[in-house]
Amino acid sequence: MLRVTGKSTRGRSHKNKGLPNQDALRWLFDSERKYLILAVSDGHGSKKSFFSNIGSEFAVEVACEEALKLTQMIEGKLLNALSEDDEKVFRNRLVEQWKIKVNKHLEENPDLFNISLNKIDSDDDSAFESINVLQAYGATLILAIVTESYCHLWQLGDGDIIITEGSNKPFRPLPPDDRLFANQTTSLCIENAWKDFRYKAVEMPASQSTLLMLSTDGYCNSFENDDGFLQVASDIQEIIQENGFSYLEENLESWLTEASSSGSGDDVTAAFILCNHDDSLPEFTIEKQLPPFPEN
Amino acid sequence: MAKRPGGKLSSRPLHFIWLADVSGSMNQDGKIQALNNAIREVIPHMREVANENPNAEVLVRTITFSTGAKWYSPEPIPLEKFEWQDLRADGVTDMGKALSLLAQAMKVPPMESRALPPVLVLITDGLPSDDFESGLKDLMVEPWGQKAVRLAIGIGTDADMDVLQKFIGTPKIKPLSANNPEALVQSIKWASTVVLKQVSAPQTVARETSTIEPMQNIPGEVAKPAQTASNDGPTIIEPDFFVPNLSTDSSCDTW
Repeated sequence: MLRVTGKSTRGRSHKNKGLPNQDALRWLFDSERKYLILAVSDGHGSKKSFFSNIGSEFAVEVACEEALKLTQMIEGKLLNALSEDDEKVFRNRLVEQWKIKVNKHLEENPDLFNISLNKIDSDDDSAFESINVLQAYGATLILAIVTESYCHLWQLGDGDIIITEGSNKPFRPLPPDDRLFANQTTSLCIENAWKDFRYKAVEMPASQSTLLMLSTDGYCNSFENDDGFLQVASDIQEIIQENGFSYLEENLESWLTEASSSGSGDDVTAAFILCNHDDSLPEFTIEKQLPPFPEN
Repeated sequence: MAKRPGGKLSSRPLHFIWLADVSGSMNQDGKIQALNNAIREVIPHMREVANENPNAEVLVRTITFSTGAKWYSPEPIPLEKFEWQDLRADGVTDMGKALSLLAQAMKVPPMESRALPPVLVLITDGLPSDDFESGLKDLMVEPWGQKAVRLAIGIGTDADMDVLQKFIGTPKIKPLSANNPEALVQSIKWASTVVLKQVSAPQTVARETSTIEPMQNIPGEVAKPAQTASNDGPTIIEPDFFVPNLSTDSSCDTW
C-alpha cells in the first residue's frame, strides 16, 4: 500500500520581500494505482531567475507527465533498474519537454518577460550585462516513481531524497554531488542538464515499511546540522506509527512553516511516501482512537 | 501543538571576516586610527542590516597581518556581541601569511557546509612583503575560499591594486580605493552593509560560467530558441550587487 502527502510553504524571507513561493510539488497515481509519481522542484532565488516559480511548476508538470508515459510504455522494466539507454532517453526528454514549456510561455508573454527583466536592472542600478533566457525560469527537479517493490529516483540540483526502512537510520540513496555548494546548483536551465541528473533504482524491502522523503534545500538548511535533518525521517516514521498518516497530513504544513521561520527563511517543500506492506497499520491507529464497542 | 519532527532548527551562519593590515606604514598619517574609527562606526549599521534577515546569523572575526599573521578574535562572534578592539600597527606586510591562516578557517569543518557564502574583506595600505601568491593558492584550494565573496579596500596611493584585484578574483568587482578617512568609512560601510545584505538572502543560482552570451532580446520580441547556460569550466558567484564609485574629492586626499 502506498500513501503520500506533501506540502510546500512560502519562505519567511520570500514573504518579507513579497516574492512568491518558488517551490513546486505534484504527485499522481496511474489509473490502476500501481505507480505513484511524485515530483518536487525548487526555482532559483537569484534575481536573474525572476520566472523561477513558473519554471518549477513546469518542472513538476513535465516530470509527472513524462513519468506517467514511461510507466505506460515500459511498464515491465520498472520492476528493475532502467537500462542505461532508457534512463538517459528519459532524462533527456524531461529537459527537452521543460524547455518546450518555457519557450511556449515566453512566446505567449514577451512583454511580461521584458518588464521583469527591466525591473531587475532598475532595482539595483546594476546592469545585468547578460542573461540567459532559460535562467529566468531556472529550477531543480527531484522525481520518484514508486511501486510497492521498487522505486526509481532522479535528482537534478540541490534538495534531498531520504529513505528510512523500518527503524533503521535514514539514508540518502543517491550519491552526493560536490558541485551543489554555496547556494549554487545544477539546474534544468543549464546546457546539457540531462547529464547532471543522478539516478538510482532502489528495491523496497518486503518485510518492513519504508518511508521516502523528498524535499527542497530550504528544509535541510533549516537544521543546525545534517543529523537533525535526517532525524525528520525517523521521527515521521514514529509519528505515523503512533498517530496515523492523517496526523502527518494535518500537521506537515505548520512544521514546514516553523522550519523556514526559525531556520533558513527559504521556501520549504517536503513530501512523504509510505510504502507499507502491512495494510492494517494506519487503520489500526485510527481504530485505537475509537471509543470501545459497547457491550450489551 | 504537535511535536515538530527533526533536530534543532537554526538560521544559516554567515561568516564575515576582516583581514586588516597592521604593518608599520599604517601608523603614518593616522591610517590605523582611521581604520579603527571606521569599523567601529559601521558596526551598528551592520547590525541593522543583519536584523532585517533573521534567517542569517552573522558571525564576525578579524585576522591582522604585519610581521606574521594572527587571529585578533579567533572565534566567530555573533554580530550582536561583536565589539571592535583598537588595532595597533607595527612591522611588515605579510599578506600571504594572512591568507594561509584564513584558508585553515575555510575548511569544512570548522566551516559548515550549510553556511551562506562568507564575506572576506581585505584592507591594506601597501604591498605584500611575503609570498602573496602562495597564500592565495592556499585559500583557493578550499571550496569556501573559492566561493567566498572577496572584497578589498586599498588605503592611500601605495596600495597594490593589482594584488587586491587578484584577491577578489573576478573582474566584475574592483577593489575600492580610500584616500582619506571619509572614503574609508564609505568603503567599509558598503562592504559590510550592502554586500552583507545581499549575501544574507537565500538566493540559489544555477551554476554557470562568465561566458554566457548577452540576451538578444528586444522589447516586444521574443528571444528564441531559449539558450542554455554553459556548465563547463570553473564557476564563480556572480556579484548581484552594484559596486559603487566611492571616490571623493581628490583635494581632500590625506593618504
